[in-house]
Amino acid sequence: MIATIAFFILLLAVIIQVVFIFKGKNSHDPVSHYLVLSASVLLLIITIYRSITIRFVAVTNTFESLVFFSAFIGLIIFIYKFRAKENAIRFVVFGGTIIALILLMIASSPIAPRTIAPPIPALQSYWLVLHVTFSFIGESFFALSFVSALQYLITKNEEKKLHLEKLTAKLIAVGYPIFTAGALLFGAIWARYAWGSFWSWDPKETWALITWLVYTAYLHARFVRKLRGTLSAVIAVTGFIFTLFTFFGVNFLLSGLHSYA
Amino acid sequence: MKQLRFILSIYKLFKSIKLALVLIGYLVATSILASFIPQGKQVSYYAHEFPSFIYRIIMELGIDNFFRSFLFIIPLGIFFLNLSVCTIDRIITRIRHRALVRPGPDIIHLGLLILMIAGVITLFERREGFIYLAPGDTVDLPNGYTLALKSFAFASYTDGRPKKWTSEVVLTRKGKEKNVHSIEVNKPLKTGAYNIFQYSYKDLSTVTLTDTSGNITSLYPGETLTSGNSVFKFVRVSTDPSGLITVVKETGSSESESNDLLAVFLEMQGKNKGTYKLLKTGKTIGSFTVSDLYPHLETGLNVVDDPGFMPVIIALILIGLGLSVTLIQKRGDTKI
Repeated sequence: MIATIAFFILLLAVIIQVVFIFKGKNSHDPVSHYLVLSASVLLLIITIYRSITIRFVAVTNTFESLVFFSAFIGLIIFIYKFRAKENAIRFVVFGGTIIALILLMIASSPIAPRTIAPPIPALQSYWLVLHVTFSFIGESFFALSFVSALQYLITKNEEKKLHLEKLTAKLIAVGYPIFTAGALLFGAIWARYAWGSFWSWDPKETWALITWLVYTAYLHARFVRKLRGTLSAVIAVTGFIFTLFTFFGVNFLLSGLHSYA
Repeated sequence: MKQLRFILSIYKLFKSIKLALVLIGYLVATSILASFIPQGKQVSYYAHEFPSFIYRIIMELGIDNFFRSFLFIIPLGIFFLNLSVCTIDRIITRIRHRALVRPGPDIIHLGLLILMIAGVITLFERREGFIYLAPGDTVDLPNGYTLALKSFAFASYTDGRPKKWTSEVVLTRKGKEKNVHSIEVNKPLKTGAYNIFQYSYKDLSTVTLTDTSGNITSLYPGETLTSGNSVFKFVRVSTDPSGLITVVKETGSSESESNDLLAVFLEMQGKNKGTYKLLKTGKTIGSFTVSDLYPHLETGLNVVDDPGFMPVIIALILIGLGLSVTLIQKRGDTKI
């Protein structure tokens, strides 16, 4: 029920954003990011409610992960819009909201059962909680960097391109350390406690590493080689496509230790 | 002079970020490929699943175990050299210019180098063994250790999913008995010599049933029994009135001999759904009577001796520290 309300609030935010996009450059959307924030708060309430019910942090199945992911994308959209005010790029806010909405749609589909159930033994670890939460917070920054890089590739306006390029770099620079800590560091420690090995080359681990390498390449190319332009935007877009594949594609196409995630 | 120039050109090559990016690109591309080819299977699997031409390529290049093959290890070795030279060069340059203001990436690079060294140590020096023990069993481990299983408990949730596995073990060395230790998933036993992980389990319990004609049938967990229109799946033998817990201790203990043993059946109403039925010896299910119950659980333990463990911990701490420093310093950045 709460997830449905959050979904409709996000939908309303998207409609308002579309209206303001069509109204033209000088119109300022003062509402939609507050709606996005409200939806995020509702989604975090779901996480808290389920956590109390199962007496564990509720990030141990696909539905809970999607809810958490969607909530954090919403929070980052709000922070971005709140800080940038009129300078916020509408397409980035709009694209980010769309991604949060799509994730919620997937959460409501049969591939993500809503059953509230305590975790199986392998998932009963606070290293797992750190692993999942940090990974999704990092990936939420990557989601917005994806939208920003995508618009960079579409737009012809040079001034806007410059702004988008900087925004993409900043989002990845913040998301990368968080993602590294979550996906690789905490993930490795959890794997060690659960299975006795830091790393097993399980498909999910391999794809998390691939994603990390892509963003590593982006940061080194951008900050050391000073690479700016289409190629760097393409790497940022690829990074998020790989992020999504690590989350969804591996679960459905490749089996391994993370088959329950 | 010529030699010096050669050494300098090699040094220049290895400190190149371009080389790093090319190697990252290679590692990404080949890892993607390897992720779609199941790893570590029997040779016959690849012969059966792939056309002969692709099967030959997989076998010749070692793609069946890609992350241990030369296709992965050699580029990774070059990457290690590349990262080492870059890190040293970066630190030296910064010291020379007295500009040690952004140490985050250097700490991360150092952590990654130690991590790769730890990976190599683990690859060659890690020893592990998977063992199955029933309560009362003992096994000799290297270096004069003996591991004995005192009891093993399994608990499940009401929906049938596993909740907890607990092995109670005693680790002795040269006859000197130590305390009883408890091992659970995510809670390994850490000793100076070994880390022992709760890895798996086997339920070999049996229920014996007698039908109205006196015929005897025995079932293992997961096997089904048909009586009229009803299908009953035998789930487990439980030692607890709830039907959710089974504790098996070494011979002579009360749990194993108890008259309170229960056979847990699931009366099937669709795939894996139904109503649980708990039956003592002498009770009937359909046209069958439970005549005997025998609880038999075996714990699956993974005994690990990995000298790469400590270097990995040091590396992870360094990477974590480097990431934290980077993130904190990034907060102050206004322009990128």
